[in-house]
This record gives sequence, structure tokens and C-alpha cells, in this order.
Amino acid sequence: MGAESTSTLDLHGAEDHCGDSAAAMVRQALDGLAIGEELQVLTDVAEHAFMIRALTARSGRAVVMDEVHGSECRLVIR
Amino acid sequence: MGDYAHPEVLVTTEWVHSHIDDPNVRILEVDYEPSGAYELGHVRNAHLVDWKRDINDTVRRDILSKQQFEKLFSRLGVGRGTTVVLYGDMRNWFAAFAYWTFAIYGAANVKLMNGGRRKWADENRAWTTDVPSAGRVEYTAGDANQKLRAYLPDVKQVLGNPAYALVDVRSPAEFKGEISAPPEYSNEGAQRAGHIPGAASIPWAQAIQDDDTFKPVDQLRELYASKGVTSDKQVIAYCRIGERSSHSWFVLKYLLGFPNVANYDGSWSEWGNAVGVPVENEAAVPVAVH
Repeated sequence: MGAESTSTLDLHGAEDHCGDSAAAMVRQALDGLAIGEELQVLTDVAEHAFMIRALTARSGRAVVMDEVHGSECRLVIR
Repeated sequence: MGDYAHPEVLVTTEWVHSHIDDPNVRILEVDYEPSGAYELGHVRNAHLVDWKRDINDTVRRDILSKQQFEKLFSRLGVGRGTTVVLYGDMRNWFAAFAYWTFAIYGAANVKLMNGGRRKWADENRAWTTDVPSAGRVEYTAGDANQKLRAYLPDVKQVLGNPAYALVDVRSPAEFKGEISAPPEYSNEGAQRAGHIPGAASIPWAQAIQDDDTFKPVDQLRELYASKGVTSDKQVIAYCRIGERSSHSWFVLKYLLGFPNVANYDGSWSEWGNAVGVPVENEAAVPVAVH
């Protein structure tokens, strides 16, 4: 069943300005999802991709799309 | 490690991988947010150092005391002959801050894993959630070396003195006074935005490459020299709470070998809230927006 809608979180440049960590941003984005909504996360940092997969597993959600093209990663979490 | 002044302070990810089971090596992951880093996965046999709880006094705004440092190293099983390897979340900032505090108390044989978590992940190296145990040892530290630390009165005293160089390692927006802190960190905000008069803007990230490893020594030397920061000067680095500036302190002191470098950990969260200190604000915003 497809998602009703998809929110996108772009982590490019995250953590450059000493604000929220990438993990905090992902958690906040997941907490803000509406029922049936998916979260698409874009990043060029392999560490972020690892974090997203691990966070997702712990949150009871699932990564339904996990694409890696060179350094670019696109993950979709439901 | 090229021609760094002190190449022995850095280890590669490969070195760490090769020494993961070395009983004389203690790997420490220093995290600002363990739940988003160490707890999700860490280098095997790495012990967690929670920056907020273990490196700072949790009541007063100060770094851990000598006694707290001794307890920390004792708990982590660090003896006099142990090689300590630091890495951590948030671009190795907090690992660098821990390096700085450990240096203040005279810890020897401390290394920083070049590239931190990012490089470990880039190389597709293994993570684990297993938490190692450490046999307790009794560790005795030296008295604090205050030459490595600058306080607000020290900074006030050197303003305008050409023998000193102030390095502001924050983002351009922070330096100019457009913001004093991101909205999600209002507790780090200041009543005023801008920078300390005479400070050179050299954002910390200009010292690293895309994989978070440090740039070659010639590029680092040129980076700082181009802004008038040279080894004949006494250098004070600052940011907002002192962790990004500890990363730059590490570069200046150990990679470039500057003889006199201090970290002003009060940084802008102190200076921007202090009454009567001079401020330069290019954004011409009289009151900080955050």
C-alpha cells in the first residue's frame, strides 16, 4: 500500500552549524509524521545512513527504500 | 600523517581497527548525544564518554575537576601506560574537547582518531552495540595546566595586543552577528550577537576534508596565516561553548605546533552575555535574535 504522502528531510549540511544533530532531526521528523505518511531522508554522509537504519529499527518503523548512488543516500521510512 | 608538528596525536581508522583488541589501548567514544550515536552502534571495544555528564561539571558551568577526571579514567580502566584513543559524534568536536580537558590534566598517550565516526562509516567498517567492560584502575592526574585555557578576563586583557591572535571558529552567520545560536539551542544563545573585536573568522570546518580528516599541514598553515594567525603569536580560539574551538585548538597546537594556544571555552555564550565587554556586529542587529 503506498503512502498517503511523503515528507522530506534533507540532511545535506546538517551539523555544520552546531545545531541539532542529524539523529535529533530524524527523530523530530518521524515524530511529526501523520498517520500513513512516510519520511524520505536525503544525505551524502554514510554515517547518517547508518544512524537512520539503526534508529528506524529501534523505533518499530521500517526502511522501505534504501538507495545509495555514490555518496548520495536516499532512505524512505514508513 | 605528513609533516604535522605532532603526528603522534592522530591515529587512522585502520590503526584503530588493528588495535581494537589491544589491552593497552582504550578506545573512548565521546558523544554529545549518545542515543544518536554510541547507542546505535560504535567501534567494538569502545567505551562511552558522555560529554555532558562525564566531561563537564553538571552543576557549575565548568569542565570536570581534577578529582572527577581521576575518577573517570579510573572507571574506564586507563592506567599510566594506556594509549587512549578518542573519537565521537558531531564531527569529532566533543572528542576534541575531551582531548583538550585531558591535556589540561596532563594525560599522556592520548590520540584522536582522524575522521571520527564519519570516516569509520565511509570505510564501511563494522559497528557494534556490545558494551565492553573495563577493569578499574587507580589513576592520578596532574594539576590543571591553565595555559591551555583562556578565561574572559584573559581575553579582555589581550584585546588590541598584536602579540595575540583571536580565532573565531563559528559559522559566518554567527561571526557577523546574524544569529547567536540556532533556535533549538536557545540555552546557548546570548543577549548580544557578533564577535570579539579583532577576532579572525576561521570556521572550524575549513581545517578538515570531506571525510572529516584534517587537511595537510601546508594547507592548514596557509589557512591560518592568511588571516594573520601565525606561530609567533599567542592564540586564543573560541566558538559558542568551546567545543568547535577545541577542534581548532587541536589543529593549531598539535598539527601546526603553535607553542601558545588556549581554548576560551566560555566562548560566545559567555562573552555575548557579559556586561560591558566590547562587541563587533557587522549585521548591525543590536539585540540577538535568538
